[in-house]
Amino acid sequence: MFKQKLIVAASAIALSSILSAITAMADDIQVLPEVRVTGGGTDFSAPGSLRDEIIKTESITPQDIEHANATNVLQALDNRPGIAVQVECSVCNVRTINLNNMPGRFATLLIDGIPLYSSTVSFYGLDSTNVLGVERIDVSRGAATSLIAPEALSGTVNIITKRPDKKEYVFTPEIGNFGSYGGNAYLATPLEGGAVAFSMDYRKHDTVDGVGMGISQYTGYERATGGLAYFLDDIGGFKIHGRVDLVDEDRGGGPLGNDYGTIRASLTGNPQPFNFSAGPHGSPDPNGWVAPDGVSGPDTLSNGENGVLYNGGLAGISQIITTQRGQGTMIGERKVGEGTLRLAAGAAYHYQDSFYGADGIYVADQKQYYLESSYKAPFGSAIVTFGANYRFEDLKSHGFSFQTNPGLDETGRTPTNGVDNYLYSVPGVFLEVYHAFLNDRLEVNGSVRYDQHNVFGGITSPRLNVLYHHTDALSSRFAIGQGFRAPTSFFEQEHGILQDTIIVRQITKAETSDNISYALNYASDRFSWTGSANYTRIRNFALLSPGQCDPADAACVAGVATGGDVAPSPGFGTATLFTSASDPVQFRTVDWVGTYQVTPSTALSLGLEKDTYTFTPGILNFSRPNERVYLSSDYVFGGWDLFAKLTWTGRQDLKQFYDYVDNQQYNLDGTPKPDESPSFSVVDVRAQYRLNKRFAFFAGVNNLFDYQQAKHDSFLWVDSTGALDVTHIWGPIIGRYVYAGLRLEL
Amino acid sequence: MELELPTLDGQRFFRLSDEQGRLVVVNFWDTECPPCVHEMPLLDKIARSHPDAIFVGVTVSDRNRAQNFLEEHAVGYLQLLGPHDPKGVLRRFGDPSTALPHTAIVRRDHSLCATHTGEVSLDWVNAALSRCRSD
Repeated sequence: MFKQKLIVAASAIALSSILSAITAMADDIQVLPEVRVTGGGTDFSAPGSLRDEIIKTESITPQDIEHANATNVLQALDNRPGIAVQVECSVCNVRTINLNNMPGRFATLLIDGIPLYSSTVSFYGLDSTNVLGVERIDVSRGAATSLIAPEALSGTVNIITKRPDKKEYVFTPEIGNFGSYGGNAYLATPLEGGAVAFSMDYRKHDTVDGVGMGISQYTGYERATGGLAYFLDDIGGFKIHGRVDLVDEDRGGGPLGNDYGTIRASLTGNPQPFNFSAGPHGSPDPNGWVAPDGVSGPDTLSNGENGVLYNGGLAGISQIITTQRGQGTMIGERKVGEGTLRLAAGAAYHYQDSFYGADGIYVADQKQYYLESSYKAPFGSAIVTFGANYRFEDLKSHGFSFQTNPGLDETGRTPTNGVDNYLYSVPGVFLEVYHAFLNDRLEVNGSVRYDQHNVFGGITSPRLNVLYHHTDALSSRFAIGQGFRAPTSFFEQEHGILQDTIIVRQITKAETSDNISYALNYASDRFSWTGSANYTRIRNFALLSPGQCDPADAACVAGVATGGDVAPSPGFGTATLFTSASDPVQFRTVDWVGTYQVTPSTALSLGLEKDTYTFTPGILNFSRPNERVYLSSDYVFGGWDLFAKLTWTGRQDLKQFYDYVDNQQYNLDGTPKPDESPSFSVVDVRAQYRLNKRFAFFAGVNNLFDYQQAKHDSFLWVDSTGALDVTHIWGPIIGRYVYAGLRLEL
Repeated sequence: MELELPTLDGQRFFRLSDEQGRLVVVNFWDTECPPCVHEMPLLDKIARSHPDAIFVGVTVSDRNRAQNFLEEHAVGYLQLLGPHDPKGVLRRFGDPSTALPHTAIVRRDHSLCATHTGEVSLDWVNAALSRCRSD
């Protein structure tokens, strides 16, 4: 690991030297295009602004990224109307992108329009997707927002790499509380016939426990990323650009500290010790917790109640994950006849080595390849695009369950190899026709694509987009479309898989979506706003149900049928069933967001979001809010940039989302978890002062008033028998974070 | 036609309605737009040779980036900070494609007289100013 980090660092130094040398030869050489298409906004945008495109697209700009003090795509995206980051595990901090509050697997992340993000990277790789040297991040919500990514049922997030137009050598060291420090470097230069940019980021952060349990709520990490973006203006007539990125990350949660070797070797007792009495509704015994049914716990607690005394060592409640990833993209375009020929390719390799203390070991290798060819040209008065693409995805895993092999140390356990393996190979063709009417006031775009999936067969995905300019300032966008996603058995979607030895694939259909959306956008000199409504219905919603009987296991099945003792206890079965839900899941989002230039130096933004859902309780896994409100102000004057943002989140129906009827969640003292979460607010503030062109200082506080879920309602929960889990999540996982740094531009 | 935008230095709002009786040349630009940058010295020179017209630049860059840029590429005419969502004002000033650079000339009565998307030439600006002056 350390060796690889050294390689990344050495590469950075070497590349910066090369850049300096090349730059010396290529001073001030630029090709001047005739115009630059703004798309309605470049590096300056604000909540309520839309890009000038037929598909509703919001841009997150470098200024937005700076205001959020973001170094990765999750920090850049979080807390915007219709866009949220969902934490799915309090000790490993798996985080996914929820567009319109739909599960993270339905959002597709694109790098310069290339889809290289799938199952593994969508769970632990997003924290490592850095946002250095980006021109903007485009977010399009709704199904069928991308012609080449039909699986984006909730929408797409497209990271657009900035082409360097001048020499830039920028260094940004930063330090904060919770033992956090890091920094990044961005080295870029235009060249004769192209441009090149190198970026590198290193971060370290401690595990954080806000309530004195000795069990972290925020996962510690050490992360290094590096990227090289390149632009070549004429290679055989092609204008080519692309990038190569490397990621190396270790993260660990549960026990405090990062002595992972000691944590993995500690298999018995309560050695840290963990204090299960700390926090709201803590257990009456610091060494264990209550079995709420009063009989299932194997132990007697210090107050005489029936319960479970913790005996799993540091390892028993830890999760330690190593992620390594490499990916590359290349896009080439050239004029052919009246039109433009586009060729694109991408490849990614992702390695995940996971130690899930109480559950097991899981190691995965994933390969992804992408190829695309398309041609776009005028056809009569229309513009026609047609092409083909091919996607390949191969996941291979191995590991073993601890719970099906109790009493043994790591080396003595039975492997459960490849339970969630899958290989998807998907060629597809697509056609898109664009036409403008009424002197360009009305724009219509229709498209259809056909994919031949190697497992789920042929699937057709149509869409229609309409943009109408009522006036120069007021426009409407309407979209209707369908998409599909081939469900994956990747275990992160259901940790219970680790306890099983087989996945029984009873799923026969891909997840499909029907989506309709409307947006009204107003853009004038001092005031811009967008109101939008979005409806999505997901059919064949994929389900992974662990701890079930393998239908081929007659004894197990017979036990279930008779209600006898042969049936496995929940979480201790032999099989995970991979099925589709019989009822569709529906998501409805209405939001309004606008920005007003109050004074020459101050802008105020307001966002309102209302969400409703139709779903079978428990099917969505994690709770989601019905209302959110966003309020921010930005003051820029005389070198100062002062930014403040308040995000209010309404109550969440925990009873429905966590399915209390079938699986009541309890506190460690045996009392039931609340049916609803409280509403809460989080305030972030940031100040930056630009001393001169080369130096700027910044400081900020995230979660200024220190609102933490763990101080109100623990992430830990037990079921009626006293089995412990770490996924009762509805609020902020970390308290007040104070940071400061400087930006140095040479 | 109206235009109401903050000056780049954040000191005040510029309002077209406050400039009654004067020709106004509005140039939309961005620091990351090479032709925008290339035409700025020419526009600066033309502005000084036409004192009867007001030249204003409207940047769609963020304020800090634009100020940094202008420290190195000083121009003499007034600079405004563009709207958060610039496509409305660009369309209003005759640029439905929202491409940059874009230059518009507004008559004394504040009606739109001439527009050009792409880098301007000395001849185009002089001819357009003459025509708009005589309208």
